[in-house]
Amino acid sequence: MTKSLNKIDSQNVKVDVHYLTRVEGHGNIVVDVKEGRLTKCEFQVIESPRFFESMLAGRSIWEAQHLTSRICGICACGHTLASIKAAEDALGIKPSDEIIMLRRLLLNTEMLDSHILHIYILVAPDLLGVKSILPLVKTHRPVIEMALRMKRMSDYGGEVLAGRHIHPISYVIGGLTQLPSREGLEKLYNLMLESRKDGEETVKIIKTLKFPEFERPTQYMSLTHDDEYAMYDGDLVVNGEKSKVNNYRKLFIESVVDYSKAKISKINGKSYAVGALSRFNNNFDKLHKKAKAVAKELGLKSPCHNPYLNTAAQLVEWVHCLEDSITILEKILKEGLNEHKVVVSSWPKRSEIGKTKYKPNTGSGCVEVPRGSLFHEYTIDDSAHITAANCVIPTNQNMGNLEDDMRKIVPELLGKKTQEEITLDLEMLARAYDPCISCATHLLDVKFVE
Amino acid sequence: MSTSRIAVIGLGNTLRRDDGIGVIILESLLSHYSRAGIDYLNFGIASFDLIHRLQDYEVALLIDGISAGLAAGELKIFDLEKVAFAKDSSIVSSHELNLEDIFKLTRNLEIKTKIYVAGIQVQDIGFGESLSQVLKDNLEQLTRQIDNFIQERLF
Repeated sequence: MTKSLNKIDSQNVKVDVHYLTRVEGHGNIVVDVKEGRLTKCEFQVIESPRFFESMLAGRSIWEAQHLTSRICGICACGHTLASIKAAEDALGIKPSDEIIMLRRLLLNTEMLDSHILHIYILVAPDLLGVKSILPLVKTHRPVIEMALRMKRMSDYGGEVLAGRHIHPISYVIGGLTQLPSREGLEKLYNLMLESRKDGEETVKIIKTLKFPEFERPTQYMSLTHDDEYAMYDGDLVVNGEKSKVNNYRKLFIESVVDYSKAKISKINGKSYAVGALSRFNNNFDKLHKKAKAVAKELGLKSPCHNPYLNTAAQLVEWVHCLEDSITILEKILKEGLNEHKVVVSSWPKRSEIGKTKYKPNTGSGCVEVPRGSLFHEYTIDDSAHITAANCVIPTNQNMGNLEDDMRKIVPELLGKKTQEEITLDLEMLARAYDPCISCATHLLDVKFVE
Repeated sequence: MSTSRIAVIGLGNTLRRDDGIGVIILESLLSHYSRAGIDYLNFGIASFDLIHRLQDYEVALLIDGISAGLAAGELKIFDLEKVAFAKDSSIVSSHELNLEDIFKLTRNLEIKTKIYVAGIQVQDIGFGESLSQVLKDNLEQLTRQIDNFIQERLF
């Protein structure tokens, strides 16, 4: 949709990318430079709102995680776990250490899955100068087959742990409905060991690719934990200051803008970033030593202020999550799982829901998902039905930061790059954030020719 | 990673009314016509993962809602090899790739699985958990028709 310019015009540039490709859902990039002045710089989310919070109102809290897992086909496990944590907070339920270990493992598999999808399928085509993964099947077939093999490993993890590879069914409030099979866990463990080689190969490949040079220091928010690289649990941290998850409404303010269906979030009146690079910057010390070595090999240092390198941070996290998963699986396979501590025995029957009296309460939960900190918050009445719900997704939190990046990079590129090159740089910048705009319908448009 | 050679896969979002028809028919097949030697898989709104799962099977039937200008609730079962896609095969449009792109990828990767699609014309894909009345009325018949196809063509 952009006009090609034969010569570089630093005074007038118009970028109008309708339907940015290789992101989930529909978003536009609109930038206007008139007579050398940046007059418009927007990332417009044009998806219709999905009203999940409204859909939850009036529903039993016991079914919230099944509904919210449908918010996303990629972060289904993350939504399930954030939902369960919020529900347990509201109900006053404390899960056992074994349950938390299994949740960490599930979250790791999702992180492994999504990061490899982003690195190979969504970002690699930009860095290799093609429009999509399809031409790469011809030119880089072994690499694409390796990417699919890596995805297959993490998908299998979801299947073994959560009952199916997408939209987990066995992870519920208070535990699991069934234990994962030992045979499945052994197979997953072996697949993960085999994946180490593919991870090493991926590091070699990513090392050869050139990411755009750009820097803009910003506020980085993520979970943080004294004992681990925080993914499942911890306090929130931004600018070195910690706060409790249930204070999130005081920490950041969401507001509506007229050009986008997504809200913009700010901390201290300024935009902030969430996601792999934020976690890397805030929690570098807690990474697995192999992940730290990969960061060194890739030349990635904390703090890193180049948003394009979010992809490199994802690869570092991929290695961390793989090694963390292998450690967890070794423990499980050695010590076994205690069915009494993991499997939920007091799941309320549908006919019982509403008869038991609960303390009206509000609970919140946060987990790190591939694109950043994900929040769920539910208020329940005395029958444990949800009266109010709030879900804050990472992509919304990143929107303001992306626009501020665009505002800085466009003037830097004026006079140096053509309109087409600026457009590509902006598309790549948006894709680096791995935005998830969530369309979530799968209609196949078919024309039958008689 | 499966010992079965046949997969029947339900696709769609059950929170978007008729968009969930593939998953609902899959559940109906499992309840009424479950057959040995077949993996019945609920893929929900996932799609990219189809690529590496498809290659586990000799033959796969994908059940999904379609927009094809047919009467609401009408079923068309077609062989993927006989669907002509647009010439421009270089643009992949979304994060979770759409089915057309998935099919192109399976072809480019020379995945040998024979793929059929059971497409049901949808009427309403707005937010909600129940099917439109016409699809609800046809559910039993659709399930039976699809099971007949499975029995006659997939084994």
